[in-house]
Amino acid sequence: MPFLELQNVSKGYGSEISRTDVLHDINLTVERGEFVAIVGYSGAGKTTLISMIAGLLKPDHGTVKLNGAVITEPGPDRALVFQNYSLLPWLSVFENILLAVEQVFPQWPRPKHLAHTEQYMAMVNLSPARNKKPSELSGGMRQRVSVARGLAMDPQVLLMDEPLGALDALTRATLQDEIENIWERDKKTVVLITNDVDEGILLADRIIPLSAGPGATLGPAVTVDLARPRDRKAINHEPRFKEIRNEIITYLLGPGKRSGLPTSVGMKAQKPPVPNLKPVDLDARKFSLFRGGRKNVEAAV
Amino acid sequence: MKYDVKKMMMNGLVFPAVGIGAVIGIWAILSQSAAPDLPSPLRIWQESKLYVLEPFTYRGELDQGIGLFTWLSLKMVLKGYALALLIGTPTGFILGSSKLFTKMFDPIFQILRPVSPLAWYPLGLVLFSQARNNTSELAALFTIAMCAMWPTVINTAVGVRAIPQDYLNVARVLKLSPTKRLFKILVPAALPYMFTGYRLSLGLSWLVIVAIEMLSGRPGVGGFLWQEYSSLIYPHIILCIITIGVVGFVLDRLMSVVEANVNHILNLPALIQRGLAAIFARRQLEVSHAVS
Repeated sequence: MPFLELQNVSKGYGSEISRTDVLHDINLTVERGEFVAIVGYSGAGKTTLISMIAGLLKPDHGTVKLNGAVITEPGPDRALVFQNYSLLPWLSVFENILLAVEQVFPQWPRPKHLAHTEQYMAMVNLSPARNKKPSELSGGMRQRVSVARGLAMDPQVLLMDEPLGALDALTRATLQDEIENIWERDKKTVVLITNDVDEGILLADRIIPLSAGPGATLGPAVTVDLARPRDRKAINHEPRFKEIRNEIITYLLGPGKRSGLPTSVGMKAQKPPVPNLKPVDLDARKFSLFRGGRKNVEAAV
Repeated sequence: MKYDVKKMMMNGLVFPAVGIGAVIGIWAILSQSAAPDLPSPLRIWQESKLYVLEPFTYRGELDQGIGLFTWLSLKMVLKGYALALLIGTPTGFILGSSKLFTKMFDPIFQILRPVSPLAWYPLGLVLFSQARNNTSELAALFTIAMCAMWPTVINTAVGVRAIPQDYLNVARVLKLSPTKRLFKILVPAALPYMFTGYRLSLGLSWLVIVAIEMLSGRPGVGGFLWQEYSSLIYPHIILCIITIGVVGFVLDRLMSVVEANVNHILNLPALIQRGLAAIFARRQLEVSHAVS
């Protein structure tokens, strides 16, 4: 029996006439301890898919099962890490994690709650920021809190919805490495939603493309048979890495792409052409390395 | 940061003083020429000196220092205001979280909201006519609560509706009980809106009490004002107006300080806890030193 199973799941929005299926006939099985990445276009329904696994949304057709039991409502056995962190801004880092711990393990004595929270806060290297509020943290640190909160709940599945989507490239890379390390340690079942193919390959055991909506569905899965731990620098040169990446991108740009339909993706393609320059300096002020970057762009023009 | 003392003096003292001076000047000229019935600033001061310089002297029920009158009015306001918050906050929460409740009661609230305090007061007198000695007090409290709770009700409801879905999702995933959901998610998230409502409600309470006192003749700033009008001592009317304005202004300032520090107020229990822990840790350290 598969651990997590989606059978013929469909979900649509809108009323009868104007109704469109966002997700159509999704079938997915995830084994215990497996790390699965789902890659797809923005607006394809990735968040809808993970919300159904979490139980925040109900599928119109089909069933979502965890351990053989149909999922009907959200619960702490499926921890969620959102792109927008979803931390409670009036609680500190410690309190945000503690709230989840207290709630999931009500039978524990207080010292055990505190120690458990402390442990997961240390795991994501946030102990020095324990009393800070989310508003005082950078995006990367907030997402760490969110990951720590998810893991501290000791869930059966950790669901991550574009967890690194709002972060800059460097922070993103650091956090990818951290997620990999943490996963190596306790081998949780993870479903990761992302729009970054490389991120999926770096982290996952199996990577599955989601076609463009409406009526998005899962494409053929690709097993990522690269040895762990994976080194992001070395992996770039591996032929197998390039192969997997090609396979996924070929699907997403080929059969997985539905051009001509009035979808958000189709609309985006019709945007007026952008001037041909590389925005190398957008974060110039953050990294002193690139100081004076704005001038560089002007020179390039 | 270095403060520009000179600039602060100019902005905080000199410019307002010039403005007030100008108004008093125009007033003096008007009272001498166009409006002979308007008491001049000098006369107001001479007639009011006794009440201002001895603010807490009691000479009779309707002949007290202005400080005592203010205190009497404030006491009523605080009681009525507390009642308004006690009724208004939960009502706002229900209004904000239940669509059915909104559909049922929002029209009634919209109709009751603009009703003047002068209309509620007689109804209060009728309702509490059984209470022999304090009918007028109960009626006054009833009127303040009926008039002043609306900003609290409406702002709380808006605050509850504005809670991001993310926070509610957290509550769902963690399976918080309804009570925990209320106190751990809804209340903290809606608190900034609630305090805006609280500030507006306090201003309204102060507005209402003055009107009620004038209507009922209860001792207080409004009661004093009406009595002095009846006794033809017009300078005291101006004294009362200024007092009402100053007190209202101070109340509003106080509430905006509270409002601006909602987050710190929310942290107070945690801060106290942390402070106590620090003191306790230090004492332990001292004890261990003493032992060694």
